[in-house]
Amino acid sequence: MRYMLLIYSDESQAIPYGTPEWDQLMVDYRAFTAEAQRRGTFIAGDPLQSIETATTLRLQDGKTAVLDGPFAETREQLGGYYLLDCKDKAEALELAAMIPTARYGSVEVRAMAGFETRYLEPERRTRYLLMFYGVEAKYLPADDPGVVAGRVGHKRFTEALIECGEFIGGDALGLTREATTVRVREGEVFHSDGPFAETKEQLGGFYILNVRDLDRMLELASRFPLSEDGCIEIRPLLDV
Amino acid sequence: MSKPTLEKRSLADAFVEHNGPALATLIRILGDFDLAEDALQEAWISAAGHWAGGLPSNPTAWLITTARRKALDRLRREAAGVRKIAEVARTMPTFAEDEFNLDPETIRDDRLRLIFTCCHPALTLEARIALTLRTLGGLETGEIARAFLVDEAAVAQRIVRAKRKIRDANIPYRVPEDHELPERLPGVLAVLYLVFNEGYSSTSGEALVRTDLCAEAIRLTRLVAGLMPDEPEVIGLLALMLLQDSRSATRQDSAGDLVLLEDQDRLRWDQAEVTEGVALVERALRMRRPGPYQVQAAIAAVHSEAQTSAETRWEEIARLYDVLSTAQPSPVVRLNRAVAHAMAFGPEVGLREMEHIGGLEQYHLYHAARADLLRRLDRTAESRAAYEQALTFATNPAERRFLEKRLATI
Repeated sequence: MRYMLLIYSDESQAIPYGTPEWDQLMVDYRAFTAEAQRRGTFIAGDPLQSIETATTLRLQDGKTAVLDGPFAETREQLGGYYLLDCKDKAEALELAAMIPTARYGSVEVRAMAGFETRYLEPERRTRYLLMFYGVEAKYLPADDPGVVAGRVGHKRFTEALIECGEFIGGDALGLTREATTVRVREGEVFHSDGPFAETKEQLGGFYILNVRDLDRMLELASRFPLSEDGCIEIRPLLDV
Repeated sequence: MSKPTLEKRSLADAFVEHNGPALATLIRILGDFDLAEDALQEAWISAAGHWAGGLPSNPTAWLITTARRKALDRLRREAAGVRKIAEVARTMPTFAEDEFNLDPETIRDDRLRLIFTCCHPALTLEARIALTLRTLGGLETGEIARAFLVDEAAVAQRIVRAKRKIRDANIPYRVPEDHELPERLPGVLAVLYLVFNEGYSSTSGEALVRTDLCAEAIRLTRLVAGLMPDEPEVIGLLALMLLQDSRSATRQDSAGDLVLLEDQDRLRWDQAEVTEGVALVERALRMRRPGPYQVQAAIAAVHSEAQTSAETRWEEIARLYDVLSTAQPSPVVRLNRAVAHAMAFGPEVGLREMEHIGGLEQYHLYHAARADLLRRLDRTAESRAAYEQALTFATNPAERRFLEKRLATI
């Protein structure tokens, strides 16, 4: 079972690059990645560029509007992710608690719905994380004809991305009511039901793409079947 | 969750204690005074933010580690710089060739690329304006801050942030392809027109017209028009700016009060700008790809061609507003159309149209336009009420004085 581990922390309190503490954090992250690999769970994982590099797309008067900034203003911001293939949710939660940032931030664990996923090792260009948000309640029940039609639209979008050769991976996520947020404080692990942030729109899934530049990214994103109450956030990945 | 803050005092104490030793070690390790000093200074900047939660156990070692990393980064950047120098050198002509014979088309294209990067939709509008004025207009941060009456530090921050986003999000440095232009060009033109409008009708400050901003907007638009001679909307925007600017000397009287178009001394309109503006409108319209800026410029041209306000061809203007409000059905355009219809077909027609425009309740010119039509219809009490409403929303002093004067005469 695949899980997306979303890592949140307060960017304004981030450990500055180049300091000994930053070095230590990198050592801890490398150790975590090694552990995830040793267990055969690791699929992908990357830090993201600062929230200041985010771009959001929304439908406005029937046209796609490009906006500077992230989809939602939150106290803690998404700083990175891990994509893991775990035995069960218990293992995903166990690994989440081992992520270094869990000690001061939050890690949201979301199961994946299981759409087509393909991990290529293409020529390195700029990699971006495309996250799509929507009002989850509108996608229930799963057998509603409108919902089924929406899913077909997503599938077609995914297939088009795979076809263009710039697709690294992507998936729809499971429902937020099945999400768990993990925090570790002074060595003690805390679990709370639900996603890390209560927002009007919920993260429905993501794609990781390897493209020429932001314009190409916006061009691909503009083909996404956006609805009036949904949006897309695009963040470049940080190469370390 | 607020961390205990390190007092300024203790950071100063830490500086006295740890700076000297750290510097000495760094100079030895790096073998370079300047590099060591600069790197240590950067390490202190990190420390100021990071030590707020308390001093590390060995501050001197912390500073050395951090500064060493900063120095390494710089050396790495410089190494990349050396490679870049080699690249640049390769593209330079040899001495045998004419060094100054750099392909003018390449230079031109570089400016155009830069405009599209500076006006990229993934940047905030404020950032686009600041970055365009700074990098293409060559304005200083302070000048931009004064022009838009914002804090200089805020402008500097906007520019730094925008440059960082361009780098980190990989916003390309290129002219959009033809199929992308219909989406991207309006964004560039909107920035240029905003700069012009802020100069032409300042929302704050004593002067109604700030000629410096108008001139800068015209200069930049002329540049884009020169670079994209086949885009009628760019030509239309340039024409619109020139025609509006031609009247700037007559929009205010000697006391600094607003003078309406109908009362302006038309002999004092800048004839060179009128001639150029009208010619540009005609050139743009001949391309047969009409757009909102061309139509607005055409409206301005009809005004410019009337020798006296009584000779204005209002029916022609009303027709052009019909075209404009189909393409751009915004409340402000509909208001202007209603005014044009009032002039062409009588105040009752215009007033009836105005009653149906929503969303302008807080726009002073909406109430002022209504007040004027009510005044013409001798509906004095209603007219007075509308002028009073206009005054609640007007901010520019010259416009306020005009409205007060009008109110006093009815």
